[in-house]
Parts: sequence; structure tokens; C-alpha cells
Amino acid sequence: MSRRSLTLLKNLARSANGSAIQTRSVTYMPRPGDGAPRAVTLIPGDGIGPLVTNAVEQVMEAMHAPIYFEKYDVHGEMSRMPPEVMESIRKNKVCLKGGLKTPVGGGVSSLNVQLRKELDLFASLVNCFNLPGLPTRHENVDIVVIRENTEGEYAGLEHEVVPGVVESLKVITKFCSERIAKYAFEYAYLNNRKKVTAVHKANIMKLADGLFLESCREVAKKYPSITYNEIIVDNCCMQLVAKPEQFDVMVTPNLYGNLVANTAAGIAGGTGVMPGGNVGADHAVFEQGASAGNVGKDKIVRENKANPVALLLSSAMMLRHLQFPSFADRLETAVKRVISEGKCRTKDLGGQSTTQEVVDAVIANLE
Amino acid sequence: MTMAANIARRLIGSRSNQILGTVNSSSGAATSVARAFCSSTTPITATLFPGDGIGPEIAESVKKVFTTAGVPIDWEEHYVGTEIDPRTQSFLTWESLESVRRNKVGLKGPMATPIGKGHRSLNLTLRKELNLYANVRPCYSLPGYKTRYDDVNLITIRENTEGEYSGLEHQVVRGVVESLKIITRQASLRVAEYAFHYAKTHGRERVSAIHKANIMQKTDGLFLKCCREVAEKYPEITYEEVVIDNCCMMLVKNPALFDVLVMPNLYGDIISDLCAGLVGGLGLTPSCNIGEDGVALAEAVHGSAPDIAGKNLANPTALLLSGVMMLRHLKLNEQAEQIHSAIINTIAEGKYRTADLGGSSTTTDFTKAICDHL
Repeated sequence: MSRRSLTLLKNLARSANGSAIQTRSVTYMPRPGDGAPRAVTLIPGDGIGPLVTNAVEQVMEAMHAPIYFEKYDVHGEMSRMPPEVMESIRKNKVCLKGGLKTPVGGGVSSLNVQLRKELDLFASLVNCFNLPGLPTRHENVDIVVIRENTEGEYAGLEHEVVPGVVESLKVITKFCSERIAKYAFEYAYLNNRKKVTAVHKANIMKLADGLFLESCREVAKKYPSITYNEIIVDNCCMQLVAKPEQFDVMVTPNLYGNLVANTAAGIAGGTGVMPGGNVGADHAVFEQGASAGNVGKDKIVRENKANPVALLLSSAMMLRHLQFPSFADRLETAVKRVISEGKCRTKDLGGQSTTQEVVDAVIANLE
Repeated sequence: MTMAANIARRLIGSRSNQILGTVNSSSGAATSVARAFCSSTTPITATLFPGDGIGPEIAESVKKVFTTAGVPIDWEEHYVGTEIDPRTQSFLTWESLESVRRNKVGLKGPMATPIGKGHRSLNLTLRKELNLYANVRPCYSLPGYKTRYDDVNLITIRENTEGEYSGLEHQVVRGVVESLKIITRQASLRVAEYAFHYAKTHGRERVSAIHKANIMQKTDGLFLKCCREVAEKYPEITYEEVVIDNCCMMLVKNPALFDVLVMPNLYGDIISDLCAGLVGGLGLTPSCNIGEDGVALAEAVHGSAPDIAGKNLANPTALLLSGVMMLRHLKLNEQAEQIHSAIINTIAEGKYRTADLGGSSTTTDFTKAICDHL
């Protein structure tokens, strides 16, 4: 009797420990034929891109996931995305990509932005959360930043009025603000999130951000069970640093979203571990969540010390998007276990491992 | 004790006047510098805007600390009016603005802009009329007040006149709004010059320009070009450029990486508030606005907190530290250092802290503790 209760206690302790994160997605009933392999466009990109996308390829193979990659070589200095790449994405509807390096101050417009505009990927999503076992200064962080991806300050409409005076147009439309607000509330509703916060600077930019806020308020009325509030962007950054647990889902126009997402990613563990993606009505492109450092420095590329966790978690999001939840769960569990064990961590998380070591650890931890 | 100290201070003051009197007569430099040297006997006039809400209480606190420290400043107090002055189109009177223009130095408490139309916001009025082009905020971790970040020591310098805050917006058609962001060579050069000059005079080693020129190529590109031009004139100071999303991430992960940050208006607003959050909030952050012709208006950037107004609970640290910045601008470095150390020591000791820092002292107790530390 005592021996049995001892093993029961041991099992209880192990599951309460959290190191054995046992979940089973038993409720997904596939239609016959759902297991046929799906094609996904893969763009390795620049800098650390090829390293981390290679990591994803290895893990997908080890899992025997029903996807296969169509790889295309694109670099940031190209002036346009090659048409065959765009065709492939339009056909497959899903794409996984590494970072594309945009030359600073040069005449080339960012390929990342071009891709988003052409495919009308109007929502960019970054999920910033504390990973168990990874020490950070802030606890209880679980923020999803939903950022309008096509207009705002990134409209790219600039001109020199007279020599020495330059104007840049920030465009806000009701159409785009409404659809991003709708997406944010829909996301909150489908993912059981309780609060949506709109980030703005409407005390200064009264018409532009005022229009954004108006759209958010209208959509908020249709979701009475979700709390809605508004916060000015400078106060928001200060609160993120002081009390991040007050935020849940945040919806923002383009530029503020960039800043808020990177700040939130920084407080929760760094941009090397946060997943994210861009989604539109017809297509989805998954990439490392926050944009800072997604191309990385040359030193990291040479020493193969890039952190593949962000892209691995984004590919798990992609697997769920493709309706393969069991594979997504296995991948996430393995990655979280590797992080919580703490033995295999790349430099940005305070360890010394190379990318390949982390990948091997993840594959070893797959159930 | 105080009387003897005052007599001693006056003696030392008059001696320094004799020593420095020769400098005064021979220099043809700006009159403000000369005025600073002979400040020990002839007091400097400075404008004081106590402001609304908790403003008057914390302004009292500042006056008390400054008098105890023997700072030779005569305050000219001005209040926000109750009706709109047609000459300035705001609640600030023409006399107040003239006073700052004349004295070239001022200290401002929190002002609540009344809601309504037909007038400009108070801060906007001050900024436009006095041509305050740079906002300087030093952010450093206060020893003894523990936040999640212990090693913050940076200065943010923000361009204050143009950029995204030009206020030029219009509705193109229904449902489509455009907002203009303006960057000019003149304003960018001005703020870059000030940033490097500040770095040099305060012994700082690195200046980082924050931008988003990979997306906004012409506007932020122009800002960067101006910064680079100025950087060439200061070869001993390291200059680097950081994209703003990278900057945000690095600031929350490792703020010790940054020294002096110079940026256009919007980024400056966000980053300076972020840095304030790193060290403990707006209640502890000093700030100083620099204008043309050497005008300096130090201000407390927190709100007027109407809910605790008049209850002797407010924290005067922000206004006091801003006053210290003002003294340093006037080159009264000795008294500035004295008051600064007194404030730091009082907070570090932890016995007298106001409610927002987790203590239970009143404003007057806190002020008295600082005076005792002088």
C-alpha cells in the first residue's frame, strides 16, 4: 500500500514539476486526405536566415511532418521579389521566411514591406511570453501584439520639398484600421483572451490616430465580453517596462507596433525566442516574431550561434495554421523542454551552444 | 547652524567674486556666462511656473531647498491665467513668456492643459514661442531605489520642434487621413550640434543616433546625414547609428549599452519615456528644454496629479532634479552637486520617502530631510 502511494506521489510530483509537459490534442478529427503533404514556400533570406531555416527543415524531417518546402533564394539587395517566388506563395498560401536585410538609407525599398503589401498581409502578430526556465527581469508576461502591416508610417511616400526639407506621409484609412481592429478582437475571442488595448498617440496626431481609435471603439462594441482600453504609446512603453502583466492583446498602427513588439519581446526573453507571423485574407507568412536582429550580425553567422527557437516556434504556429495541431504541440513541447533544461542555449540567452546543438537537442526531445 | 553657514557661504562667495572678477571684465563672451561668474553676490533672476495640481507644493519645496543651499536665485513667479491671452493664443500670458526670454532660464512645474478649442496647448505655446529645440533627459538609476534595472546611465536628447509632431494633418477623402512628418536640415543640424556639444562638456564618450531609415529613407536619412556631418567635427566621440526597434530591444535587455541618444521627435518621446520607466517612472525624471540664444527651461514631466493636490503627499524629486539641471546650465556646479547629493542620499537612506516610492512621508518631511542632508 505504501509503495503504491509512493509511486503515485512521484508521478504527481513529476507532472506538477512541469518538466514533463504532457498534452494530447485528442479532439482534432481529420477529414480523409488531410494527411497529404502540403507545400510550403521557404525563403532562407540573409544573415542568420539560412541557418535558422535549415534548423526548421531538420526538425520537420525528424518529425516526419506532412509538409515539404519549396526553397527560393531571395536577398535584401534585390529591388523586387522575384515573380516565381510570389507565384509559389500564391499557390501554396503559406510561406516560412528568414530575415531579409534592408540596406539603410539606400534607394531600395524594404523587401519585407513589399511582400506584405503585395500579398496584403495586413496583420502582423508577435506573441511575447515568458518561457519557463528562462530567467528574465519581468515575470508574468504574455502579450500578443497585433500590428497593422500595410499603411501608417510605412506608406513609403516621401519627397524633398526644397533642398533640406523632407516630408514623409503617414496615411491612415478607415478601411485598414477597421480590419485590423476586427482581426485583433477575433483573435482575442478565438484564443480566449480577456483584454484588448489600443496603442495610439491621438493627443498629438488627432486626425490620424483619432481615426484608428474610432475604428477600434466601433469594433469593441461588438465584443462586449472583451475588455477594451486605450493607452498612449509613450505611457505604454513605460508601463511595459514597469508592469507588463497588465497587457494582454495589443492592437497598434504600423510604427508603434514595431516599437511595442520589440520592447515586449525584449522584456520577455529577447527577439531570439518570440514567434510571430503575418497574415492576410488569403495568405500567411511566418517568420521570427519581432523584427530586430532577425538578420543578425556577421559574427553570429560565422560562429553558427544563431538562435533557432523563434523560427521553430513560428513554424509550430504554421503547423497549427495548416491544421496539424498534434505536430505543432510536439514541436512546442520539445522546444520548451530544451529551454527549461537550460543546457543548450545560444549566446543571446546566456549560453554557449551553436545552432546545430540546439537543433539536435530539440530533435532528441521530440516524443 | 544655518546662520553661521550662511555667513560662511557669503564670505566664500565674495572671495570668489574677487578672484573671478578679472575674468568678468575681460571676456567678451556671452553675457549669461559672465553673469554666472558674478552670481555669488548678485542673484540671478529665474522664472518659475509652479503649475497646477501638485505644482505649487513641489515648487515650494524647491524654493526651500534652494534657499537652504544658498543658491543665489531670485524667483519670478508666473501663473497660468484663467483666460486666453490673445497675444499668445493660450492661457499663458505674454508677460510670462517675456519673463523667460529676459531671464533666459526657468523652471516649470506640471501644467494641465484645459480642454477646449480656440487655444494652443500650454506646452506647445512655450515650445513655439521660445523656440525650444532640444529636450534633454538624463536617466540614471538612483542608488538605493531598487528597480529591475541597476546600471542605467544615459541621456536622451530629443528634437523638439518638428518631425511627426508638426501637427499638419488633413482628411483627404472620407475615411482617409494623411499626417505629415517633416524633417529639415536646419533643425536636425541644430539638435545634433547640441547633442555632441553636451556629450563633450559632460565627458560622455558615445553618441547614438536613433532612426528608422531603412523604411523612412529620405526623412530619417536626412536626419542621419546631419548627425554624421556633426560627428566628423568631434572625432574623440564615438558615433553610431541604431535602428529604433533594435534600440528598444537593447534598452530593455541591457541599458548599459547606451550613453547619449539623439533622435527625432516621435522616437524621442517614446524612448525617453521608456528610459524613465527603467529608472523608476516620471516622478523621478528631470528634464530640460534648450532653446535658441541659450534659453533653458527645466521642467518636471509628470502630470499635475489633481487627486493628491494640496494634501502634502506629492514627490518633489522630479522638479528638484530639474532644478539641479538648471543650476548646472547656469554653471553653478558646486551648489548643483550639493543639492544632487542631498537628494540621492535622502532617497538612498530610505527613511523619508513619499508614497509613490513606497514610503509614507509627506512632501514637507521629505524636503526637510533633504535640507538636513545639505
